[in-house]
Amino acid sequence: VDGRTLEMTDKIGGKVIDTQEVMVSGDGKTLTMTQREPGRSETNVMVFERE
Amino acid sequence: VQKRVFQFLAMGCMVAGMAGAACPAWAQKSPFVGDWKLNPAKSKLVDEMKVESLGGNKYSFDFGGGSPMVAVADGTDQPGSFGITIGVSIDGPQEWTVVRKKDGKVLVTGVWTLGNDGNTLHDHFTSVHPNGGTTSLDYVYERRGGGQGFVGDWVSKSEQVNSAFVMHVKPFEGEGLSFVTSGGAGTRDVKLDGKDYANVGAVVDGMT
Repeated sequence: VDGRTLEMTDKIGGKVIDTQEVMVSGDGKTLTMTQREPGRSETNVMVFERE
Repeated sequence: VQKRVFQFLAMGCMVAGMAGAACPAWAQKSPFVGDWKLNPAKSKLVDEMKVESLGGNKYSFDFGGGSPMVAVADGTDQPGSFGITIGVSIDGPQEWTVVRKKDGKVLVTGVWTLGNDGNTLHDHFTSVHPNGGTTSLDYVYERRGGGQGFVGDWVSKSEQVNSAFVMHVKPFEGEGLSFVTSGGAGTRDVKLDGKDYANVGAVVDGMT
């Protein structure tokens, strides 16, 4: 997507089971992973901090 | 294979977005590279699952991924989806234990307790890593729609992460990245070319 954002897709037998957007903040201290699953209304957000 | 948010590193994937911009030096100075610790207070880990009665003591369990697992609740391991077995024990009128295994080894255990109002379900969830380490969470679900007992659609309203969760991101083969968790939950190597890659360490058969 850009230098600080990746998009990853998990599949089983070619069928998408989820997508994950992984984004690092501008200051490089926070990584946010947003997971979406087809057919599900809720989105998971995992926030990581650089150690 | 929920709660997949804590199992994603053991899966394969396709990475898009950086395709065409990759170069051998890129990963070395990638902003993704480093050690990252999960901050549960800032995270939102919603889980959904569905339990359906198929008559008698037989139930369907949908943990996501589009392939429900069917089991007779007699405590035995029964074939499920993606090479994973499921065993369901009824420990009491308000307590079930649900165990999923691969090749005879426990992957996840959920101890479910139904609230006295029948509309709340507590899940003490433990994921077992290949090296024997574990990740533990406590989820509280609310019933969405109808159903009795454990049968119904359940959506989590809160969670407590009982284990530290650290992700190490390292350069992989020049232009790629390797995501590794502490505790041995898994390693996920990705190349930034938009193609699908099988993951040798995936817990789910046939995953890319």
